[in-house]
Amino acid sequence: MQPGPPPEDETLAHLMLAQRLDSAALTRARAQARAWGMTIHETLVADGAISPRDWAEAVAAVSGLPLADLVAHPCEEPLLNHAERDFYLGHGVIPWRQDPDGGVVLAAVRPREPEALAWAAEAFPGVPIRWAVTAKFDILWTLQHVFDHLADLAAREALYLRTPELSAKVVFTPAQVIFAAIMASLLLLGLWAAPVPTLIAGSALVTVFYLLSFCFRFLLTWVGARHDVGIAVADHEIEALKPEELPTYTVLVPMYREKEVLPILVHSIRRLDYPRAKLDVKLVLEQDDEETIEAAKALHAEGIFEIIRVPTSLPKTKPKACNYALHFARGELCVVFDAEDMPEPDQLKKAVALFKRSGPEVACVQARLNYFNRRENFLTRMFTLEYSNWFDYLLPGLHILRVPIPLGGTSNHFRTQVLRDLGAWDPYNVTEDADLGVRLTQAGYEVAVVNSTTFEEANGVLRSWINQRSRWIKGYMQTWLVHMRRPVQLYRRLGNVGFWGFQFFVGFPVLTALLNPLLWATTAATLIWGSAAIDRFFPAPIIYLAIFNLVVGNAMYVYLTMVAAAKRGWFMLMPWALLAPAYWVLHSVAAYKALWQLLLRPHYWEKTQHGTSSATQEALAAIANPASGR
Amino acid sequence: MSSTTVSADYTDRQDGHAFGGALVMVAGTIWYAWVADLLFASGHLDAMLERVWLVTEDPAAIAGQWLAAMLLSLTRHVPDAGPQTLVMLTVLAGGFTLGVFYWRLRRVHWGLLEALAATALLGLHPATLMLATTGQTLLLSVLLVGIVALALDRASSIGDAQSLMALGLALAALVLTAPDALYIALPIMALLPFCLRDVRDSGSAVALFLLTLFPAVIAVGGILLAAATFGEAPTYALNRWVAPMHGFAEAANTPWLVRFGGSFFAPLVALLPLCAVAMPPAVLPLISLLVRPEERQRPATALLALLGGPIAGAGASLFWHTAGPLPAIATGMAAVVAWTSSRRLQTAERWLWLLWLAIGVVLCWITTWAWDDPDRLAWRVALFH
Repeated sequence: MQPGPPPEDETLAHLMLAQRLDSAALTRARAQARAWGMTIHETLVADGAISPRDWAEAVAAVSGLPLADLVAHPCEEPLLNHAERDFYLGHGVIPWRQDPDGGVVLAAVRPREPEALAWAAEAFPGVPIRWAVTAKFDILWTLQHVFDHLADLAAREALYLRTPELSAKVVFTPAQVIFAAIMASLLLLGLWAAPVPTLIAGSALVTVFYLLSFCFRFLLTWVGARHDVGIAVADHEIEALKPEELPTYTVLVPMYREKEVLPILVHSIRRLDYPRAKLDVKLVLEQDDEETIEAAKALHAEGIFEIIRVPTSLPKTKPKACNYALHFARGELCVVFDAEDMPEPDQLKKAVALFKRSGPEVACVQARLNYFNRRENFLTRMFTLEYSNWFDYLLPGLHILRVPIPLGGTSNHFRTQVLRDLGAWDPYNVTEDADLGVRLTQAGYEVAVVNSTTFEEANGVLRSWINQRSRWIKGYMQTWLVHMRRPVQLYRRLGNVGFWGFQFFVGFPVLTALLNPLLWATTAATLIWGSAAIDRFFPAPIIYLAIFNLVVGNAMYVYLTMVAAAKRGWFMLMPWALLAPAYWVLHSVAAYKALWQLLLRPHYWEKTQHGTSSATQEALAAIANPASGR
Repeated sequence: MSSTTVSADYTDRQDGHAFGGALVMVAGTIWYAWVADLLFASGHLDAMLERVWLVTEDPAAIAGQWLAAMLLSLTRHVPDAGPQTLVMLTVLAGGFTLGVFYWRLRRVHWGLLEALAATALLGLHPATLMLATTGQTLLLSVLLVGIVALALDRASSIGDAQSLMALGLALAALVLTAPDALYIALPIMALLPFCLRDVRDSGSAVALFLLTLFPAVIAVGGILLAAATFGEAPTYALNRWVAPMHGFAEAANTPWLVRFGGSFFAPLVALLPLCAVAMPPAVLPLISLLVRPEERQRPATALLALLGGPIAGAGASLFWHTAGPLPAIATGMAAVVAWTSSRRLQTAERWLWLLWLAIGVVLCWITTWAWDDPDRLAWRVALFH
């Protein structure tokens, strides 16, 4: 008969005798373990009282098993099976080496656990099984090194290989190129053969399209402005959650050259109101980003923080990094945060409550995003108004009207299995989140919006803002092109409202940003040379609508921007909405840059530099020196 | 995110009753159509309808009532439409209003018979009867006053962004419809600080005023800009609006203006009892304000129901912009109706409301004060000839 797992009490006693654990931490861990339904080992590691290596050494000392340092003495690769990868990760066990007598030594975080024993008997039939103790980071390190190329390939190409029509790897399909060529030819032919009627038709089309866009935006804001729209999860629902029933939650934090904001991230994760031992935090870092990797190591954060090194390969995008990290996710649910994000502490519990209350069709919960540095300058103020409108009004409106929700860049909470089944993020799409939202809806799933906010750093530097915005607009172009490859299928899957909602929310705003300069030039020409200059192209019924769009439409857009601040009571921002037209000019600049990049560098990821805000610096200072009273 | 505490008047509502409301709508339409038919038979309406029908041919005359003018213009494009079509429209609008009133009363827990009685009394009231059967654009303005009052009440009872938007849009629509909307909007502006829940300081007050007034500014600005694009200077429109009776000199010699034109307090003193007699339930908001703490927490609609009509009428009289008390009375009635249909009244209050309205209807029909205007008197004579 095999001996059982090493006794926990003896391990704890060993740690205390070795003065690696104090009684206060142990008492705290016992209480937490009881409340959360976890082992003391897990709660101690999550609390930062001991490191995973401390525990492994203690178990080894108590049990007399050898300690396996998988970095110094790596696993023998022929013993490893890629198909068993998830088991290695989930159960903290991995074949280490083969002894001369043919016996296999398994390195495990919890040696001789029943499930591991059963698996070992099946995986190595008739072979003597021996055990060694290791730490979870050693297993993670091994899996990354051994299966790197496969995981990297999957992260880049899985979606494309499975459903190429849903991948943005190919920007324009041949059918789209032919269609565009036909339309352009017809336009040129019309301009040559009948220029005035063609231009009248064009002006009528643009005018009606602007009017409809305005009506749709107004409808969304109106629907989203109801007081009860924002109430997704009530306080009593959070209180009713039992800690021991809460699922393990994977938190993915993709970063690139952002070591400055690491303390904010760690601080924000620590503030989350969620059993820490049930958090599986992945700092997703690019392999070539040594400085951030070193900075992350230097933090000596609790054992729940894991560093995932993403192999260097193209496309070098956030979605590829997330896809790669998803291979290591252990959580039933997972969420993506940016490095400088400050989610409200109750966000994970609210997402759990919403998932619990909803049917399995709700595969994703989008939290609201907003900015903590809103008062810094014109850009941050306008950005805040825009985000308030987007997340507090438009997305809830889309949800109610059952229009696909293009997910926001962070704070998307997923059922991990659904995400995996769907092929996760498209690494070739630079707004992978927006694309994923539409893909989820196409697959029959729903996206819900939760009443919890993640505060981010608004981009307040003009050049950086334009880069970031051009990426977003390029991503929307990609998303529209991908999903419009099969418009009939899209229509069938999304339905009438969903299909047109997709056009008005994803496609038309991009087109608007591109067309605006043309219309501003037309207005300027009218002001300079009089209405005679355009009369021929805007006959009576069209000119009325055009004037309506120009005056009422634009002013109402300003009004909707103003309204955006109302829900949060940020009244001081309201007058700034009057400057929204200046902000639209910047949108158009970014839109043309996006179009240029779509043609020349479709998969290039314009990196947004974080940590530049004075509010971020203040937050970092406050974290570094909590005694300052901040 | 600021949380919203919603008044019980809005959370404790009965759903359904849409079918009942539709039946009342049909009945109300039939009733108004029958009355209109009587008036047509007498030939009394012809001249008045012709005047309204041709109003869109005078761009100056439509200044200030663009929404009505637009609807009128659209109506004129309907094949075979004529001045009588206007009566059909007001009859339909009147019937619709009665149906909605019934439906709203049922939602705030009025019994079947109580709601029917209230609706019937409103339908019998000479003011509503006159508005619904004479094809006048004033009906549209009065309906919008009611909508503004409802929006004001929702803004003060719920205070969410949607209610603020609704108030702003309703005010914009009113400004586009009634040339004298300013006199209704001004008392509302004075009431706004009592109504908007998020007013904490001067900054928030300015922001919330901006939110509720911006659509109206857009509306007027848009009209002026559009007019300027077509060659009409904004100063012309302004001068036209400022002129007595907006330039209709013949209307500036009505008995009302001869007596009250250019003064504020005299018409106010005259209008207070007139409005109270025409719509005695207007006293109920006052009682509610005195006895109910929750009403005092959101007094805007009650104050509007109590004083909105007289103040608007007095303001319009001060600037020679109203030919008689009817617009003020109608404004007050609309506000009272909006207040009533937004409150969950006790049984005794409901019965008192019915009793007082019955008295008001009888007084309006039998006393002479309401019929001092030749047009109104002719209407009454035509009805009972």
